[in-house]
Amino acid sequence: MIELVRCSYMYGNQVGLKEVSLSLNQGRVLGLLGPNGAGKTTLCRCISGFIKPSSGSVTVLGVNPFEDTLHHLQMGYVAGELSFLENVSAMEHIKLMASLKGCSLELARHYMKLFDFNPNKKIKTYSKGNKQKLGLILALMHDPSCLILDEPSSGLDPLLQMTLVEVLLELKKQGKTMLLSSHYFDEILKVCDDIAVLKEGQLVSIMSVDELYATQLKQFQIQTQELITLSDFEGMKPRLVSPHKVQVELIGHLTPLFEQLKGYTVIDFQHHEKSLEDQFYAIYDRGTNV
Amino acid sequence: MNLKYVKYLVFSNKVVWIAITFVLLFYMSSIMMMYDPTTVDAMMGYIEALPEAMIKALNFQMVDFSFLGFLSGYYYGFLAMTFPLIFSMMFTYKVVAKTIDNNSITHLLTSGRSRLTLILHAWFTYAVVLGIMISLLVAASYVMAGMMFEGVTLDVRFIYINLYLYGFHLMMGTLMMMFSAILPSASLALGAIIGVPLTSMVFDMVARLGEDLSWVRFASLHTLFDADKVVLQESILSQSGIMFGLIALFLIITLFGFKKRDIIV
Repeated sequence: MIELVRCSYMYGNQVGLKEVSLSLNQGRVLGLLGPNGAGKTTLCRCISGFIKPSSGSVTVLGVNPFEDTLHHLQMGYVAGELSFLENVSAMEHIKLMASLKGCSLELARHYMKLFDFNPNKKIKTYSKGNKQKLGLILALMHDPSCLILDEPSSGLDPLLQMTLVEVLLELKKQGKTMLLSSHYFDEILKVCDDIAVLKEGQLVSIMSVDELYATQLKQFQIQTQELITLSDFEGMKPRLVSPHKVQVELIGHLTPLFEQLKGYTVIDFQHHEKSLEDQFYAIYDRGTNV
Repeated sequence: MNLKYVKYLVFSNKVVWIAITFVLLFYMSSIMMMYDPTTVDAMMGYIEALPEAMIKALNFQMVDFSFLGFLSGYYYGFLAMTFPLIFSMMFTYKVVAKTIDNNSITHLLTSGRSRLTLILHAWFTYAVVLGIMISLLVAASYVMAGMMFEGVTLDVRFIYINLYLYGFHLMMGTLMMMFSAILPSASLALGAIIGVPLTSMVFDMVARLGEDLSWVRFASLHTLFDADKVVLQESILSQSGIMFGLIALFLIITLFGFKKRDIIV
């Protein structure tokens, strides 16, 4: 559905994207992570056809998005920095967009109700949260099969963020393909199937959320009655906290640890799970290009 | 053509075009009131007392003493050429460059309409609103002339002058639309939208100052409009041809430039 092959984009002398290749199949949800300036928005712009890659190619629904705008009828886009047409109410804006997209107002009304959104005010009077709601309604009103969401929860309060996650999960259930750029790791974990990390315009890592869970680093602190011999815990990054207390780290199943503990009387056993976020940023710091 | 979008463009710029139409009507009525066939000579004497360079630069010169000649000299020589430019500047900047600058073009670009369609909507709306402004001016002028003077009529040449004026402003507006659509930043676009027509106007003024400087007129688009030629029933075919050629050229550059440019939103 979405495919990028060695896609690069330059802002003058500055790198926007550097040889990014990825593909996103129908019904999959890809989360984009990375700090400001990593290239997430540039990637969204390339996929949406606002900018033409300096080199490489982008294909969306089988067409080049820069040349063919009709793919937008099957695509919803929420920009990172939302802005709307001037001097109109939200309802007038929605009606105008429905007219340009050639769709009914039925879905727009559904989402207005879902987001508890009052459309009868001038847009300039809305709070950031309400503007974000309007952006989402405009992106979803024509029932697109593919969604590009550039930081959709930015500026939303925690309650609204929860509603947004619920809506995204519902859309995922409906089989929509989504690309979700976000700073919020939890949001990505809840919604996405795969996660891509961008650093300085390059794709540093791409992996499935399941894979991330499977490779999660687990940390244990074990206190024993006997004196601990570090060499018993080889391969588990052992660190002696005290003569009777050791700290070890493992990835995957725990059988090797339990095997080693057979020769000890365990007094205390504490488990610390390293957060997925920490683990992910360790991957980011390593900066491996894929 | 999406009429809802055209309606949006017309209404979102209503303050500008209504205000400029009123200004044009106000000056037209004021200048008409100044016209008195019995005192034209005296008035000419008064104007001749003003610095010659200023009169020439502002094109306050009458080619004949008829009512049409009077309007051609005092209204179509400067005021009618200047005020609609303000509307063109504001409209063309707002509907393209500003819309890109404030990101709101995102919604239009993701509507499934092509960039060519969107820019043609903007240009078409501009052409229609400009047409409405000049039509209102023509209609009001006929009504005012009928009410003010008995036996003094505006013949068909008055319509030709206004069609000619429409062509001139359409050319200038299309040029501004081009800057608005293809230049990479809104500030650069605004600079060109204001700067190029002003430079053209200044060159036109300079060209009128004397024979030695008349070559400057080739650097000005303003010299393409000369209402006096219509009053004197001279041919304006070459000027009109160049104007419509330039409109087509500017429009083609606008369409293809906008289609090919990156839009950073």
